[in-house]
Amino acid sequence: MGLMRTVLAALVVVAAGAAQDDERAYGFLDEHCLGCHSGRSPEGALSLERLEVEFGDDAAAGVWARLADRVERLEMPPPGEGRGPSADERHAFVTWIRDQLVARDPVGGAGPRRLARREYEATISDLFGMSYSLPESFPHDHSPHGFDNVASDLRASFPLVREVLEQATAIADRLFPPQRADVALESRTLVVAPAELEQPARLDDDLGRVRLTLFQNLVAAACAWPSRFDAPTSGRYRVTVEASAFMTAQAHVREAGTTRRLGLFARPSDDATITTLDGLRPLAELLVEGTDPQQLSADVVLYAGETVAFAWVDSPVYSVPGRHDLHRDVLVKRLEESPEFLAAWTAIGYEDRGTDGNIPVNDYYREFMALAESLPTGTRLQQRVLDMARREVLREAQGVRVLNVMRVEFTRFGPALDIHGVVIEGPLERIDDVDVLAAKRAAAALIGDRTDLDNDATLVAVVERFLPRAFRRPLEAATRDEYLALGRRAMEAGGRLEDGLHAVVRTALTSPRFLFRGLSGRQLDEHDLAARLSYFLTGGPPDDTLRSLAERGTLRPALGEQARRLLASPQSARFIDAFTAGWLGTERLHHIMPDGRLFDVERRDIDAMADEARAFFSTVLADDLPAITLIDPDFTFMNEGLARRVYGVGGVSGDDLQRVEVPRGGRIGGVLGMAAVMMATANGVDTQPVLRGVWVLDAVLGDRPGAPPEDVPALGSDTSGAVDVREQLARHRAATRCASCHTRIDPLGHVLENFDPVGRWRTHYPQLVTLDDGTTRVEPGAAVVARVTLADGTEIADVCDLKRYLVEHDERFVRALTGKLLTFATGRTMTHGDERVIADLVERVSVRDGGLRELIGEAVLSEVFATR
Amino acid sequence: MTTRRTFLRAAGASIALPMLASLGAARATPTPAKRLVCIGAFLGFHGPDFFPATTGRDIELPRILAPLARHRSRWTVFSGLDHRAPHGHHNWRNFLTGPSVAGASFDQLVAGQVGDRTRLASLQVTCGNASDDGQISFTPEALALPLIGRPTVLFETLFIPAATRARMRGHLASGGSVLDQVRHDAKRLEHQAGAEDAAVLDEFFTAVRGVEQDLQKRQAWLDRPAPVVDIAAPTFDPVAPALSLECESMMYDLIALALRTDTTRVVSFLLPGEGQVFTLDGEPMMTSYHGLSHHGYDPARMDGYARIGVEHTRRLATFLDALATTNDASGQPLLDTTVVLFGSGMGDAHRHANDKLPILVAGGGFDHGGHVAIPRSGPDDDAPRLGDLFLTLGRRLGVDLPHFAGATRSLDDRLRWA
Repeated sequence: MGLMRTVLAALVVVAAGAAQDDERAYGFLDEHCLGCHSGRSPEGALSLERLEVEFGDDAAAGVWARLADRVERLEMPPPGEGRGPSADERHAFVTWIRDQLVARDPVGGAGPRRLARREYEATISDLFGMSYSLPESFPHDHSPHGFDNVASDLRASFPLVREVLEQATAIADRLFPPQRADVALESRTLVVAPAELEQPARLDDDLGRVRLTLFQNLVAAACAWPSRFDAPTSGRYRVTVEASAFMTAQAHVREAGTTRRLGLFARPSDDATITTLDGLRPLAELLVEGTDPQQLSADVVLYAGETVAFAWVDSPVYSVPGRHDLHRDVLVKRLEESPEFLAAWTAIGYEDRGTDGNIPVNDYYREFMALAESLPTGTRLQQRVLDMARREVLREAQGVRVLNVMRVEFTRFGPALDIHGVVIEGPLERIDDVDVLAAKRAAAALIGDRTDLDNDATLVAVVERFLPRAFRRPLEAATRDEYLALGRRAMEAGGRLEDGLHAVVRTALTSPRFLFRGLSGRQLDEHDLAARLSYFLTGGPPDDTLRSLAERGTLRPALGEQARRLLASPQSARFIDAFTAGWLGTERLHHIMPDGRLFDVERRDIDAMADEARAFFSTVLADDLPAITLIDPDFTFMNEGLARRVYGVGGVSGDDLQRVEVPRGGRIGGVLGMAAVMMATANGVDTQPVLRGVWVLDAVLGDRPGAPPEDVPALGSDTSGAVDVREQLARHRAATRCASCHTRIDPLGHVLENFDPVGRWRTHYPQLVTLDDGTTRVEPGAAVVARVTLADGTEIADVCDLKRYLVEHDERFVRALTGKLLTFATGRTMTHGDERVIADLVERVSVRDGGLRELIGEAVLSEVFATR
Repeated sequence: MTTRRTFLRAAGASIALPMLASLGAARATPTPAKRLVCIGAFLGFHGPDFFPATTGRDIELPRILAPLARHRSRWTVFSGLDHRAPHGHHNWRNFLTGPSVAGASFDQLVAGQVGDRTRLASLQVTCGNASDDGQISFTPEALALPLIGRPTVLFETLFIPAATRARMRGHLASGGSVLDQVRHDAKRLEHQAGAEDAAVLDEFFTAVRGVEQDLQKRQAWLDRPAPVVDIAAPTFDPVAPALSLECESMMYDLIALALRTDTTRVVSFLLPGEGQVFTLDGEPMMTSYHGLSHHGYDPARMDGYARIGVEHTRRLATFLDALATTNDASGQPLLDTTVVLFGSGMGDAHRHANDKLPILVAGGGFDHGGHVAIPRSGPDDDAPRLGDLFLTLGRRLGVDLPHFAGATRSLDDRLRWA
């Protein structure tokens, strides 16, 4: 004991009078800790007796830090065991530890940061004013710290620098393409027979023509196109179509008239991913009048690689978001007109055919008609069935089936639009691609006004204008001269101004001055500060205002005001996207495939989840609401799919996200229980309470548990029920080595077990039962038990209770959030020094009842923000 | 419409092969294999029509293997192999990497050792525009390599047009001066920098040196005489998804050409599968390729799914024809010195299951024949894995891997050298 006390006093360098503090701190250890944490088998396998008290040692410092946290949060000494320390004693002890930690681990400490993928893209787009995205081959950034822009994760490895050079070359090539000899325009005429028109929804191949029936948003259902054609070069092409209206004598068919609008769309020939018409570029519309074949022509612009898709755009049956689905009216009319049709439809509508939407249409129709013939008609039963059928028809879920039936009907009886042949002639004239045009404009802007300037003077002007923007700081004379020399050499060798500019751009975009920021040293100078603020809140390089403030050396005091300006700009969407993706983990949503047997959730619902998270965060920011609103708001955002399939809320209709008022303190609203978060912390099949617990602990409470020891087996996944997970984890916690983390993690995961892997509320775990015929059914299994005891002894009944707890301890959440914001802004994990600055900052803002925007404004003025 | 894909077949005979001829004296026997071609079908194969009912050499060929009958002494089909990987369509991409994508794929490990012997260290090919899931080859950093999906682009990659060659040469040459200035910039920064910066800049310098060597290597290859191919580039790319089988034939032809001209020795080829509706023998199929793969045990759909499998093996057989009828520099048929791995990262597409993968190995100078079944007692048993087969193939290629993603045993005893 005595020896240790001496060591402690000797090694810790503190201010005068500190020895007394040391004594007192050590007395605290003696009195409140060593009783359990000493001897042969100390509690939690943690002996404080032999604790090396030198704060310079990482492992020992880690122990001290945990000691401070746990004592501060009343988690240690264990609640309810004898007389604990007084509040003053606790405070003094914790403050003493923190002082030592801050002394060894001050604010800052990261190296320069390379531009992350997303930042690189935004930088190129902003620099040249043209849209730009990196190819897949460009290395993706790993983001083990949640955010994609943490300096220590952004390595400059060989493959990365190789790709940087490749991209720099490609960008320079786009701006200043090689001179090519003019190739004579070779126009060709391609005659396309109907059989050579691809039509995935084609039903009948003996027609000798292509029959367009329904207009749906699905390309495969609505369109036909020549698949053996793609524009060899971007240009103007003449498309001639022979077409006619098709109809028979039935009433609803006659109603459609004989005038049809044939829409032409540009479709990338090799594309297998554009599935909806919204993704296609409309080219022209042709008016087909009457049932006689007629030749109609349109001159259209096709870009290289595109083909022409045809669709009947005013078909009476269509299904386009925002437009009335006429197929229901037509179908009801048809049902009334034909009793056979009705009876067959009804029989099939009630037959359980599972959820497979891929039933081949022709088979379906055959089956349909066979049933129609076998059913009795004209009875009272039929009248009842008629009513039921109307209801059935109006059910959304039947939409696909209705459309398939209608497609068969229209193909046989009309109305339809027939294409008898297509001729494509061209290119009649060459036209620049959108990309080429954008690059030409960007190059012209870069070169600027050349009046009275020869090539060399132009080169000088470009170097002096472009390099400070590319390097985000004023140009040093030596660097200017070197780049000029480089440009002049290339200009001489190639003979054109463009060759010189190509070399300058290519080199600048490979330079570490472009690739890294924070090169001005530990304390950021004005230019690095401008870049830091800009990449933080807009994801891109500083704009003119920031640059000129930095040049005048007046940015530092204006950072708060500038932050508010940037947050109000449209570019702040990039901040909201990237920050919510990292903080809430929503970027993981793309990789999760919910088990279709268990969850009726669609891809668009998952997109809506991420949108909800963004819209919610963005509103708290825009309205400058207190940060704790992120935990316990009285509103959130949903669209119909999210409301119906995930949250189980009525009264929301339409695909657009809309604001929904919710009661404070309820299940819905806030990041806890938010569908995006609940899904991102599960795996699409079952929940993993530990993962959720880790997320809450880190993202909401600012306490990042260390990685588990390597020799611990992972828990097996569990679909059968919670009892096992809870028991497994209870056993896990019983192992002392695991306990210190898992008593903090597990309760936070269990209390959210009411949210299933896609964020729906549940009271029982689902159980997948396989029936005799091999099909599966979901039945309720074990009951969910959400009640937990937190590490500080607080009993928490459910998620609502947890929200209350967090509102009571809102400072802890706000600190955690500020830490995340500053981690994202500075690209480093927060040190003990940073944490202390954050604690002061949060206190200042909360005294003023400041909102989230004010918090950010305050954060950018802090020492944490200004330090690398 | 002339049949645009016959251009290569007709042209095959008129290729001069300076590269192969200049390879020098043949090595003493047994000559290890020199080339690797890995082919993976994104939607897999209908298992019951792929795996023979019996094992051993004397097997009755199931429907999907029937087109390969004329080569039956030149290949071995394996059952019971997989990576012990999780299920799911996205996990297809681990076909050549093991249980997960944590590093280089098998083809890239091989390319890492033999790649510097040819102008292109390796080649990644698909048909048309591979979507996000279209990934088969990965660098040691686990980056997916881009795939070439247009025959015209592949053609120009193999036989660079003169104008492009001049431009590339210019870029490679001037790349040196770009890097000089970049290094200069970094040096100046280093002067101002503290210790935290020095580590970062150090890493940057090392990377720049690597890029420089890479440029020099590429320049050296570019300066060698190009293989003379007396054929025109394809005039039409069947890149529409519905034409992907047609594209597959053209790509096989070009891959054979790449091997014959010794432009590369490592190729991976992803056969895509999306929502395209194929037309076979003039008849459109009942539903999309993807729809057929989720057959739901419906006989008509299983039949359609198997038919597309047959289309793939018919094209593989033609590819093997091309390799079997051309000799390499040592006078051996190209096929005997080329390991062809054919299969899928998908075991049962209907269930998105990634176990019990369909795997076939052809050529490479192995003592081939028949069906090797790896007995399995459960999904996580201790039986040999697909990675063990990779070890055996690697050894045949002179690439001695001590282990591959958890596999350490090899299948040397099941697939012997001829």
